[in-house]
Amino acid sequence: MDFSLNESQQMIKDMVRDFARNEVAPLTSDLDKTGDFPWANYRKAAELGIMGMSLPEEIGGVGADMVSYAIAIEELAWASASLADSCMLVDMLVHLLNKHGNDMIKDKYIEPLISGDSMGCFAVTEPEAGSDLANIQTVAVKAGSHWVLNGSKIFINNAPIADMAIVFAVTDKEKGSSGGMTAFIVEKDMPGFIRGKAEDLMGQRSLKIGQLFFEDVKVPEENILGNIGEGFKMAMSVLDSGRIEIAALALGIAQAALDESLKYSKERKQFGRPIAKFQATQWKLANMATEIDAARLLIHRAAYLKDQGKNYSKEAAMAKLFTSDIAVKAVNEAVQIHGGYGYTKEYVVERLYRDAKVTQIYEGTNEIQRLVISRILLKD
Amino acid sequence: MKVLVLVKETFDTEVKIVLENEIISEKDVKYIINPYDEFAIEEAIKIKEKLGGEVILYSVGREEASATLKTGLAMGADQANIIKSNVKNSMTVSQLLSEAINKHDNEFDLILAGWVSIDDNNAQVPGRLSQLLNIPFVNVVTKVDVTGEIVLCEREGEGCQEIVEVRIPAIIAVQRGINEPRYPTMKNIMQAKRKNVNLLELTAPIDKVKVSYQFPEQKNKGEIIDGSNPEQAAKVLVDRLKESKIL
Repeated sequence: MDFSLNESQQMIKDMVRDFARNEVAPLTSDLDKTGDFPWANYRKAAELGIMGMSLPEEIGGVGADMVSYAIAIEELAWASASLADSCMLVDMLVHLLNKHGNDMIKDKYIEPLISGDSMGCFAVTEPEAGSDLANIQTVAVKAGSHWVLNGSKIFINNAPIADMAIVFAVTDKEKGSSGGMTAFIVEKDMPGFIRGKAEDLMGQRSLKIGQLFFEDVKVPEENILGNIGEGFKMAMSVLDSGRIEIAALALGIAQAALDESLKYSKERKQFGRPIAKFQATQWKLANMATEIDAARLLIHRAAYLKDQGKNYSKEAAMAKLFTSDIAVKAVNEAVQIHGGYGYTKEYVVERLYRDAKVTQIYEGTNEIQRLVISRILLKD
Repeated sequence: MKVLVLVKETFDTEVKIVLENEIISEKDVKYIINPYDEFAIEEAIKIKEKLGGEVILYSVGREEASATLKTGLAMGADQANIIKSNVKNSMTVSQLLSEAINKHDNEFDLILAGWVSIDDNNAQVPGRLSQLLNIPFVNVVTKVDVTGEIVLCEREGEGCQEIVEVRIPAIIAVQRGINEPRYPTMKNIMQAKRKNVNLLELTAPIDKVKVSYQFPEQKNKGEIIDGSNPEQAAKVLVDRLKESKIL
C-alpha cells in the first residue's frame, strides 16, 4: 500500500497550489464582495490546462487521472471555491459532449469550452425536480426536422453567462425516467431561449447561478446529445464522479479554514499568551486536522477506485457526505477560534463559513448521499 | 541555439530546517529548484522560443533530484542531467560541471544560471565554471538580448545601468527581475513524465573541503522602553547602556 503521490500528481499539486495562492487568492475577497465572475483567473486556469484536465489528449485534455484531478480541485478551492466550481463544470460538460456527441457537436463545442472562450451549462434541475430528477417538466416535441422545447430550469450554474446549454427534457412522458428523457444542446441565440439573472448567493458568490426559460425553442435534430431517451441515464452518469469533485472542493475549503485557524491562533494573544497555548483551541485544531485527513483519504480512495475502473459509487457518496459535513464543521470552528474578528469580512474565515454550506446541498444533498450509501449496503 | 542551465536543488525555505550532526536532515524536507535558477530556466526557454534550439539542465546533487528537475522540464526544458555527487563546495561542484559539459555538450552556445542560491548564498559556481571553461562571464544580469553571436546583458551598476556585450559561448548569471517564471502547464507536466533525467556518474575530484552547518546564535530579544515619559525613558536607556558597559 502506498499513500504517496506519484511524480506527476505531485507536480500538478505544486503547480495548481502556486497558481491558486499567488494569482487566485489575492482576488477572491473582492470578487466575493462584488459577486463578479472571476474572468481573469478563469482564463488563466484555461491557459494552464486546468480546464478539461481529465479529458483525453486527443480532444485537448491532458489525460490526468482522477486522483490528480481531485488534488487540483482541492488546491484551487483552497483559494476560491467559486473558481474551482467553474473549472469543474467545464470538465463535466466536455466529458458528456465527447462521450455522447456526434462529430458536429464535438467539433463545434469542445475546444471553445476548454479554452475558456465559450461558457456552457448543464441544465437539469427544475423548481419541482431537485433531488427528484425524474420529475422534470420541460418538454421537447418533435416538429419536422426540429424539436420544440418548452419549460424552465432553476439553480443552473453558469446560466446567466452561458453560450450553450445541455438541456434535459421529457420526450416521452409515458416512459418517464426509463427512456423518456433526452439531452439537447441549446445555444444562447436560439429564439425563445432566455437566460435569467444571477441569484444573489450566500457563499461561492462568484458563481453565476440562475434560471433558464424555453419558450418554443426550435432545436435542430443534430443537436440531440446521445440517443433519444438516454437523457436520464446520462444525467445520472456524471453524478458519481461529480461527488468526488465536490468532496475535493469541500476539502479545499476545510483545509483553508484549518490553515487560517493555525495562523490566527498563533498570533492572537489573550491573557498574555497566544490562544494556541490554550487547550480549548488546541483540541479544536486537532479535531479539524484529523477530520480533514480522514476526508482526504476517503476522497483519494474513491478517485483511485475510479482510476482503476472499479465501482466507486458508494465510496464517492461517502467522500462527498463526510467531507462536506466536516467542512461545515471546520469553518464553524474556524470562526469560533477567530472570535468576533471571524464574524467580520476582514477575515477569510467569514467567507469560508458561507462558501462551505452549499457543499452539503448540491451534487446530491447529503440526505441523498446517505440514501445512495444505504441502498448499496442493503442490496442483496 | 543550445542553452545549458545550471540548476541547484535547494530546501524550500518555508520548511523548518533540522540539523543532525551538522548536516541538514532530509526528513520532512521539501526540495525546490533554487528560485534564481528558475529565472535562468525561464530565460533559456524564452531564448528557445525566439531562436529555436534546445534547453538542457545540469545539476550536481542527489539522484532523487530528478523529481525536482522535472519541474524544469515541465516549464519547457528539453533534457536534464544530474551529476551524482554529495559534494557541497563550489569549487568541486564547478569542476564536476565543467567535466560533464566538456564531455556531453561542449558545443553549447550559452550557459545560464541563477547568480546565487538561497541555501548557502555562495554565488561562486558560475564564476568558477567560466574560468574552467575559459569563456566570458556576466554576473547579476537583469536583461538578456541575443542577436546572432552577440549577447547584450543589462545589469544594475551603482546608480547606473550597465550594458555588457559578450560573444557566445558565454556564461550569464541572472538576477531577480529578469522575468516572471511561468507555471508549468498541465500538458507540459504530463510531457515531462516522458522526458528523461540522465544520471551522469563522474569520478569526483578529491574533495578537500568539509562542509558543515550550524544555526546562527540566537539573538536576545530587544527591549522596548516605554516612551510615554521621555525624561523617564532617557533615564532607563542610560541605565541600560551602563549595565551593558556601553557607557
